[in-house]
Amino acid sequence: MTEPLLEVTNLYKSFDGVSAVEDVSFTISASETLGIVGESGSGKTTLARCVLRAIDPDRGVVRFRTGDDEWVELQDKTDDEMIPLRQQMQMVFQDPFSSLNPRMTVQEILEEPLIIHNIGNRGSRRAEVLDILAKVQLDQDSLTRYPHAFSGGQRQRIGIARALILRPKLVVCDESVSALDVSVQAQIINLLEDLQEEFGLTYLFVAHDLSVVHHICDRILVMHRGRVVEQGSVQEVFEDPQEDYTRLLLSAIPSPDPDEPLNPLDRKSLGL
Amino acid sequence: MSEVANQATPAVVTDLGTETLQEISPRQLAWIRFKRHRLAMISAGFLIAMYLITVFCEFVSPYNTDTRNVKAINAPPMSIHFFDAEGNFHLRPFVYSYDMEINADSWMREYKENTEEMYPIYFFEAGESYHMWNLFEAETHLFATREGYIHVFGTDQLGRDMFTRVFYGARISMSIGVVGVMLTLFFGVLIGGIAGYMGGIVDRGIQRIIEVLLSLPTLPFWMALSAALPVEWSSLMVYFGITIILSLFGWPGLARQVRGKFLALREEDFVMAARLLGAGRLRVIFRHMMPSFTSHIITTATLAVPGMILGETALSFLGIGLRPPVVSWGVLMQQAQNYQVIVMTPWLMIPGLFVVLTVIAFNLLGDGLRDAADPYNTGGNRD
Amino acid sequence: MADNLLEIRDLAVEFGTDIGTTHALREVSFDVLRGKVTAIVGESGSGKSVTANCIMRLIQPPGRITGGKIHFSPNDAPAYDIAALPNKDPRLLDLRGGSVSMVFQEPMTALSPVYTVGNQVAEAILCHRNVSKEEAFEEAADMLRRVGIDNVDRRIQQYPFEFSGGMRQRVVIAMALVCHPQLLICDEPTTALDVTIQAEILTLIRDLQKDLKNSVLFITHDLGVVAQMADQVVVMYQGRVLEVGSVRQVLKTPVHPYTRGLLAAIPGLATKGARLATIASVVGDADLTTPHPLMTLADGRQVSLSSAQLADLELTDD
Repeated sequence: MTEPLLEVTNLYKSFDGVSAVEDVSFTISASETLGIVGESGSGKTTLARCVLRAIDPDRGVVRFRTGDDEWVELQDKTDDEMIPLRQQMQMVFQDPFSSLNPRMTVQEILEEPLIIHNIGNRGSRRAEVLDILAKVQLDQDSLTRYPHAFSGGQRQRIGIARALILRPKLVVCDESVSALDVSVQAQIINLLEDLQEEFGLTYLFVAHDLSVVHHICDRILVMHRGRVVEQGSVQEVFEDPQEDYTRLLLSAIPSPDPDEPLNPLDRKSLGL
Repeated sequence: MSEVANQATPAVVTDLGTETLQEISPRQLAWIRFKRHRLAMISAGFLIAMYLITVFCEFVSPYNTDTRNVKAINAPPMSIHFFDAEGNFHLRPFVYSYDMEINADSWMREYKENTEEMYPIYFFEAGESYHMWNLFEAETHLFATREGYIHVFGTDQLGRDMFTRVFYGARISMSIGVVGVMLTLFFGVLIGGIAGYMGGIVDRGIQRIIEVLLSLPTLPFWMALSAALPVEWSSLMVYFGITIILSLFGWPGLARQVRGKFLALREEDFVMAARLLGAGRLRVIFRHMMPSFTSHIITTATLAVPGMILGETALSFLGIGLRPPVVSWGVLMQQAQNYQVIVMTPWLMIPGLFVVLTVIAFNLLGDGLRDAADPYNTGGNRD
Repeated sequence: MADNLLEIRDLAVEFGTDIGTTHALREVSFDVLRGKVTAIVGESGSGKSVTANCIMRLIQPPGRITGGKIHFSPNDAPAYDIAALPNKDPRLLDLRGGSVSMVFQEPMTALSPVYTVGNQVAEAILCHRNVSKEEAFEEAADMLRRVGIDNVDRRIQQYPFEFSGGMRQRVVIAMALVCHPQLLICDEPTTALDVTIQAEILTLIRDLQKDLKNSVLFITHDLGVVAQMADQVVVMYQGRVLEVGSVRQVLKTPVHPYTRGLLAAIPGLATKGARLATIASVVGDADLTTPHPLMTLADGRQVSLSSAQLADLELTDD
């Protein structure tokens, strides 16, 4: 077992008195992919955003192992103290349309993280941008274009390139393939897997699509109403779910084989 | 219908060719959309022409504002001729002199064209000397007559040339619009930005002040404040006084819009993305948020100018704004206040026509800008 | 009575956009079988929703139908061509919400926030049938019960915001079915819903269809949903039909490379740890942009392939 990269202990977050995340604890090891699955309102996105300190958790501990092998606690850091740490943890958004600034060229979008963190000079930054562009399989002439000139899948590649140009250790993918067409989705999933191998990335993969999660993740966390109802390796959870809610979720996936009819469990009889 | 909007742009057949389309910047895209807005383009042309004239109004008008022509009191607009009474063509346009008669019933002056006496029009002709922009003396006018007089828009009850006065008035009225809107913008963006960015108690405080200001009836307050301007102030000071009074009630609306836009933008994914990249506050605001709402601010500002122009006109019309000898559209309209004007000397209402045209042009321009401002909003949803 | 409720032939739709003309549909031909579920599957830009809007004659400028026929044979009236109806033809009023009704992706936009649920369902009845208000409300309550809403007496007086997303979609389905349409068009009805709610709604639509024996045109991008819902499948890509066949033919033994690519791109239990196939890797050098006419194969399915590809098929069949 590899060393842990992130440890979340007893995390709580509520909005206006409504609890979104309740008493969540988990660990991610370096270079693994942890899936967080759940339906809308399960708190999975809130949890991911608390980990990145995009929003502030109410209670609990988020510990992160930095590049210098030092453990830091993120929950009490101020926004300014978080800035240097952001190099090591990045996010890929769900919506490839709204997550790119429409008024910046691809070159400006990809160079910005390097400028923010004062990395390199003009020439070396340009080289880095070209390098990451090749890694996400986009042409060099994309650089002078604006996001609106690209299709959804290409924009998501730009989003991934922006997240990876700082060479982070942890990447949070918040429904990053959910808005894409199935053929594009397959390309992006393959790309994420290739990049993970190449850079030794650790993914926190938030998704509602169980077949995607099954494909890409090593371990998963099933969330329901802000709580973790089940966690374990993908194999364990998919083949031998222990909790009623997990069983309900799995029974609801429509199979693309017409000979495997949909036969969902009844929510009411499970008391959910 | 979203299906179409959803396709990657290169799949669309275009007049421009896909290559160029992909390189188009947001600004160019906005320009393409604006150009298709016919009325807005015409309005923009009209306003540019008007502002150019106001800048050079000493040169464009044939006389000075207070030059009187005692031979033409309350005289109607002259027509410009190319053919004389015998039907001969003249390459150089000319006007006929007035033939004045006192109507025995009404004791009013009545003017007719005197076809015996014609005054040819010369261009770039020396005429009355003027002090251009208070910098240097000059005497060249765009057009003038060597003998006699020319009154394209007629004259007022003191025999002053209306054409001259309309464009001198435009200088004051149209610049008050722009200066007032700039002041409004400055306060609106500053205060709205602070409210939107700081949030919490500052935001709530500013919101309450805005609500109080917006609930005050504008016209009585304008009147009270401008009546309070000291009588001994110079015309320049009154001018700025009026501008400030007008913008005092303009900024709250704008501040509220800026605040709303700020709050909305703060939630945008690309703003959150910038924060998560480690961008500091200033960078998030100036690099990511400001460019997204400058287009909206330009639109709002354009739509606010006519309000300012109308405000000045209204105050001066009521006699509590600018006062003669300053010439503004409102001051000119004050002369046209009585009903006799409508029947006897309708040309004194020409300044009103210019107010209407300018206000309509600004509104149409604002409409066009609004449509062009958001080049990515094609109306369809994105999924 | 013809077997096919709708026969769509060579339908073409163009949209004039800011920067040129887009061909949203080109030579689209397929049938909607009477009393069966026909599914259109495709990715964004395939023209599947545009096709549905054509059937309801909901194409608005800058879009317009530039060619083709939509031959509609109702159970109780003479057949006519929907595409050729003038804009003010009374048959259009009967068509929309009467013989054809639609369920959209986003239930909240299909419901008015200012009327009670009962009011809206009853309104749908009153629009198309000559019954008293009391009868309409009674029928509305029956239909709401039928789509699985509990406590109908109380719920009928509530407003849409008091319902969850899944319950709202049930209300929309009740509204769509209350006039006994001959064709129910479902345009991505479960895309905005959670997977467990989706399963409930899919089961509901399927059961109601078996009960009412109406025809359903089901539009989706999700092959899993297609497999569970459809009798017949139409595969669309960039405004054209690539393959039409029974659900088993299309999903179990797809012929067109694009269909094969779509199926292979779905992450499933078998793909764990392996790279996902992409359309490009399956389609290979086959050109998807050149249109080919739909050819009927020996097993009855239709497919749009070049003559070379067709020849290859026959070879592999033997």
